[in-house]
Amino acid sequence: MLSESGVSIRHVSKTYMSRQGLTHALDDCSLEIPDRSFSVLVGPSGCGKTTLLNIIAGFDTLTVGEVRLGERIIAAPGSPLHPGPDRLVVFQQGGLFPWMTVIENVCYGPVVQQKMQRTQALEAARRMLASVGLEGIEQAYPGDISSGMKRRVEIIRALINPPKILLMDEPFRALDALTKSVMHEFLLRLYDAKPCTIFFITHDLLEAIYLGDVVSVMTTRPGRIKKIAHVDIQRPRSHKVFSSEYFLHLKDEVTAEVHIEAVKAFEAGERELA
Amino acid sequence: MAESIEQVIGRAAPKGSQASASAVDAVHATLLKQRLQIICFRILSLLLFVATWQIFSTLPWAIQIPSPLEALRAALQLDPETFLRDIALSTYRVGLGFIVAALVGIPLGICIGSSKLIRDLVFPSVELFRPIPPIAWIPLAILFFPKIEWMIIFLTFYGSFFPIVYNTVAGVSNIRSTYIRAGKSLGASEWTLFWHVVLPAALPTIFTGLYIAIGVAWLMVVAGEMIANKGGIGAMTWQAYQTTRYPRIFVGMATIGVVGYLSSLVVRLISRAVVRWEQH
Amino acid sequence: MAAAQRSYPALRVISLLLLVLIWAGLVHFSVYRFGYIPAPLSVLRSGIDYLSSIDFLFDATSSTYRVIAAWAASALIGIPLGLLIGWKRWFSDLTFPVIELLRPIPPIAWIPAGILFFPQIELSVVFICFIGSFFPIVLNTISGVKNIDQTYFRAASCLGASDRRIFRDVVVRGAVPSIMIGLAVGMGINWMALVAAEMIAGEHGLGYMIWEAYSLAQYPRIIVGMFVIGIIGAAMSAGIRYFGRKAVPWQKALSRS
Repeated sequence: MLSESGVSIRHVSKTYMSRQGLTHALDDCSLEIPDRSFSVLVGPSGCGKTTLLNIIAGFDTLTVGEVRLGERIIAAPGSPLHPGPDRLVVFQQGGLFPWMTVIENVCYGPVVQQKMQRTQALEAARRMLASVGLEGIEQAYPGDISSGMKRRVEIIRALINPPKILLMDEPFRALDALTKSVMHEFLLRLYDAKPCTIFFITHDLLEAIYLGDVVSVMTTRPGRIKKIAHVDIQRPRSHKVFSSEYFLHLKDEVTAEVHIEAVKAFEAGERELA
Repeated sequence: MAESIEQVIGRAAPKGSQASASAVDAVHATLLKQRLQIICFRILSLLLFVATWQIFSTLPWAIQIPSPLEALRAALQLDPETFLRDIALSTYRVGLGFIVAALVGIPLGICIGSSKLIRDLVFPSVELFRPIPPIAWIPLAILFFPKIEWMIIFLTFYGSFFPIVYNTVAGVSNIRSTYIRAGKSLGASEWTLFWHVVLPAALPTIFTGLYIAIGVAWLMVVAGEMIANKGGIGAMTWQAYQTTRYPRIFVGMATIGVVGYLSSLVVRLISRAVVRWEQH
Repeated sequence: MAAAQRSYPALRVISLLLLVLIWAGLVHFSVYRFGYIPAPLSVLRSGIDYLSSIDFLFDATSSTYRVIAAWAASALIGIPLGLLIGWKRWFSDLTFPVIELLRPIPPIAWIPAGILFFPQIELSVVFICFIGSFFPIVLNTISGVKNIDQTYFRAASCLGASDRRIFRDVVVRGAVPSIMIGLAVGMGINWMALVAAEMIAGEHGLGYMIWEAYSLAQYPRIIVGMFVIGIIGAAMSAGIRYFGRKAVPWQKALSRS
C-alpha cells in the first residue's frame, strides 16, 4: 500500500477535441511513484508528458483511468478539477508572478492558505531563501533577477508549503548547460537534505539518470510508458557519476529506447507543445 | 490511421466496463453544452440590450428618445435611393482621401524610415502637428478650400495620412537587422534588398497603419459632413436631429457603424491576402 | 539600407524653422489659397493676446474638466467591466456582443443622440467624451486579462488561492500594464471627441472657441486654439503615461529582458 505521498497512475488515457480533430494524447499509462522517491519521465517533445503532469496536478481531466495520491483518488473521468498545494508545480517557462517581489512570491502559498500570518510567512520565507544562498534579492522583481535565480526561487516557493509531491515540468529546459548543471546540484542537495516525492519530466536523458531513482520512458504521441529503469547510484551524487561504468551501461540501455521515439517524433514533425 | 474515440477507449479500458460508453458521452455532451451556452448567452445579451432600450424610452423623462421599434420603422421608411446615394457619397469621400493618403504616405514613409537625415529634417515638424486632433483642422480647412467637397476629402486625407506615415516609418526602420544581414550575405543588391527584404518585412506594420487610417478617415468624414451638411450619412444623421425626425438618428448611427466596420474589414482581408505568411 | 546611426540634433531646429519660413512664405506670396491663412506672426500675436486673457483660463478649465470627468467615469465603469469580461467566459458572452455592436460607431456619430439624451450641453459633451474613452479602456483591459499567461492562473490555484484571490492577485495585477495603455489611449480619443462635441454642440470650451473664432473671422485665433488643444492634450496623455509607468515598477524589467 502506498503511503500518503506516493502517487499511483493506473491505465490513464486522454483524448480530446482540438482544432485538428480528435487527439489521443495518452494511451493506457500506468506508473507507480513511490513515496519520497525521485521519479523522472523522459520522452520526446509533444509526447504527452506535460499532459500527464497536468492531470496529476489537477489542471486537466483524463478520459479513462485513475490517479491516486496515497489512498485518495485525485483524478478520475468526470470528476471536477481541484489543483492544490499538496501537488505543487514548478513550471517550464517560469511561474513566478512578475508583479510580485521575490519574497511576496515565496510566501504567497502560506499566506493564501492562511496557514501563517503574513509576518510569520515573511520570516519563514526569508529564512528559507537565506538557507539556499538567495538572501539579498527579497525585494527584487522576477524580471530583475537571473533565470537561474528565478528557478531556485520558484522551487523554494513550492517547497515552503510543503507539498506532498513536487511536480517539475522540464524546469531547467530554458537554461544554458552551465547554469543547468548548477541547478542539478542545487536540487539534489535540497532532495538529500529533506527527501520529498518528486515527479520530474524532461527530454534530456542524462539529466534524468543523474537526478532520478526511477526513470520511465514515454513513447511519442499517443504517449505510453515504454520502459522503466531503476537507477541504483548512491546518493549524494556528484559529477563523477557521469563517467562511471554503471551510468554508461544504463545510459546505453535507455538511450536506444528513447532514440527510436525521438526519431519517430521528428519524422512526424511534432511541434513543440508549450 | 485515425481511430475513433470509441476504439481508443475500448482498447484501453477493461473489457465490458461502463467507463468506455460514459466517457464518450461525457466528451460529446460537455462540448455540446458549452456551445449551446455560448450561443444562448450571446443572443440573450442582444435581447437584453434591446429590451433595456425599449424600457428606457418609455420612461416619462426620456419621452423624446425613440424606442427600438420606432427606429426600425424609420429604417424601413427610408427612401432607398437617397439612402444609398448618401452611403455612396460618404464612401467615395473616405475612399478618395484614404487612397491618396496611401499613395503619398507610404512612399514618404519609406523615404523617412530609410534615411536618418530626412527623418530628422521632416519629423520634428510632423511631430508638431500630431497632438492636434484632425477635427480641429475643420475651420482652417473651410477657410482654405473653395469647395466644401474638397474640404471633406482633405479631412479624410489628413486623418488617414498620419497613421499611414507613422506606421510605414516604424515598419521600415524596425526591421530586424538579422534579415538585412542575411540578405546581404546572400549577395543581394540595394534594390533587391529593398524590394525583397525591407518592403515585405515592413508590410504587416504598413497594413496596421492602413487599418487604423481607414477608421480615422470614417471619423473625419462623419465630422465633416455634420458640419458641412452637404449629403452623406453624417449629414443625414445631423439633419435627422435638426428636423426632429429622431428615430432616423439611430438609423444613421447604425449605418455609420456598419459601413465603417465593413471598410475596416475590407482592409483587414486585403492585408491577410497580401501578407500571406503571417500567422493569425 | 544601413541607415546612418549618427543623429542630427541641429536638424530638428532647422526643421522647425524651415516650417515656419515656408508657412510665412506661402501666406505672404498668396500661393494658391494660402493668402486666406493667417501668417505666423499674426498667430503669435493673437496667441500671446489670448493666452493672457481670462477667456483662455475659462475655456481651458471647462474643457479639461469635461475630459477628466468623462475619463474618470469611463475608467470606473470600463475597468471592472473589462476585467470581468476578460476573466469569465459566461460574462463575456453576456456583455461583449453589445459592446462589439456599439463599438464601430464613432463618438462623433453619437453627438445628435447625445444631445437628445442629455438636453444640457455640459452633460451631452461629457457623454460624447465618455463614449470616446470607454471603448479603448474596456478593450485594453480585456486584452490585458486575456494576455495573462495561463501558467500564472495555474500557479495561483495550485498554491491554494480561492477564486476571489485569483481575481485580486492574478487578474487585476496582471492586467495593470494594459489598463494603463487603455487609459492613455482613452484620454487621447477623449480629447478628439471633446473638440468635435464642443465644435458642433458646445457653448464654451477650447473646441467651441475655434469654431467661434472662425465665425467671428478672428482667423489667427483658430490656429492658436489648435496649438493650445494639441499641447494640453499631449500633456495630459504624457501625464497618464508617466503615472502608468510608476504604477508598474516591474514592467521596466520585463521589457528589458
